[in-house]
Amino acid sequence: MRSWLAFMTVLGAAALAVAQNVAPPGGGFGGERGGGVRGVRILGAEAGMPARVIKNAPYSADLITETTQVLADGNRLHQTTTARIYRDSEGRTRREQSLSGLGALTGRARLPRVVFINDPVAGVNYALNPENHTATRSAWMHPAYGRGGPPRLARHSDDKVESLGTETMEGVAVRGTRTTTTIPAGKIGNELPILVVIETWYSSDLDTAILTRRSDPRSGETVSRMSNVARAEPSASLFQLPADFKVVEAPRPGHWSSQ
Amino acid sequence: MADPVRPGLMSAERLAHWSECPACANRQKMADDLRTLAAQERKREAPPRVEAFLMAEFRRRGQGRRPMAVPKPAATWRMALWAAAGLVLMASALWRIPGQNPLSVPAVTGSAVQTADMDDAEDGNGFIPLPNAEGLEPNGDVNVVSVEVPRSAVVAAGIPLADDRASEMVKADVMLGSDGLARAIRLAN
Repeated sequence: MRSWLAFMTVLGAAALAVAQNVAPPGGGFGGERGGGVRGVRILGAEAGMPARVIKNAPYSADLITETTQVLADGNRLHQTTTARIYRDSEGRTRREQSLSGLGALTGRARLPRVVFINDPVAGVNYALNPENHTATRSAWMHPAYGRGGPPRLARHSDDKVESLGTETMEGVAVRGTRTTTTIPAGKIGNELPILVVIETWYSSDLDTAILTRRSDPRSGETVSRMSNVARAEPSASLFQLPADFKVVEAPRPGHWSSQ
Repeated sequence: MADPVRPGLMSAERLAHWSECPACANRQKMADDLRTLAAQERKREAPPRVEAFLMAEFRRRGQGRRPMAVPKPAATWRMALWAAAGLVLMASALWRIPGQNPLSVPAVTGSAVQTADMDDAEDGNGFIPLPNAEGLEPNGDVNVVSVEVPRSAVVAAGIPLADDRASEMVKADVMLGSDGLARAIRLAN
């Protein structure tokens, strides 16, 4: 009897060891290392097509996005995600993105950053995993989103648009606009009208928003703010695939554009 | 893994002993059965380091044990019994590893998905908007991250799945907006 207890203990330990040592399929991006959802793993990533290619407006900046939701019981959900972004004069872009924006899917797991590169000159997109030096390459496509495309905001003809004037943020001139969209009572089962307010501070020089604040009673408030904006040309090496990275082709162009 | 118990090595003495000792005969039969099963599970063989760990543990625990009535043959096929049983249980462990189990197909109840102000509950590519997530900007960039998470995490994100097998892992593609926040999810399988 005692030997069988010992036997089962050994086998239990062995089974656990096996379960913990199976590598992620396809050279995965590693797993959670913090106190987040148990067992979370990043299996891969794929850079999407940019909606637009913007030339002759190079810059680099940090982008911090904070969301706050207040639940019906007064509880609050707060989430912050950060990214370092670059754009060169040819319209190449690089985004070093934290994955904290996965929210409830990963909890507070400390996941690796992912780097997304869009290169319209070479006609290729990359998603890099700096931790294990792998890259997923996907082809450039036109039109940007291919067949189907991602879900988009519905357009409302009764949007109210207000000018907020001009200011200087992060050393660049910006123009403010507030757009208020009203969802009439009853349209989605709502007893009262729902107001969605989006405030955007836009730089014409950089052709991008420096600050965006969005308020929606359903999703809470989201503020995206750029900081450390530099208008110098970023190093060309930032947009190139590092030589020591192993490249994996995306399963199919656009990955999500053809099921 | 070497198989130390072969019918060709059976001595007449052992055969005679088994014919008189039902307990030993039963153990031998069990070893044969497990060996057959292990052969069937050969494709699910444990990684070498785990196998080495098991063998070392077997050896360590085998030291200082009281000898059986017929020491050498008993130790040999007892080892085979443990090894075969270990293979079977490790195969079972592998079978339980998420994503390896063909029965773990997630079920999505699309009708319960809140669509927010997106045009459709599901776009043409299988992505479902995450409840309480903002819609994508008309000219916003998107990227996709593939993850493996527990079903319970998908439920926590607001996607209604069957609540059984909550700890089971599922693979999903998550669409990130230009601000890095998750907007939509597509479950694999």
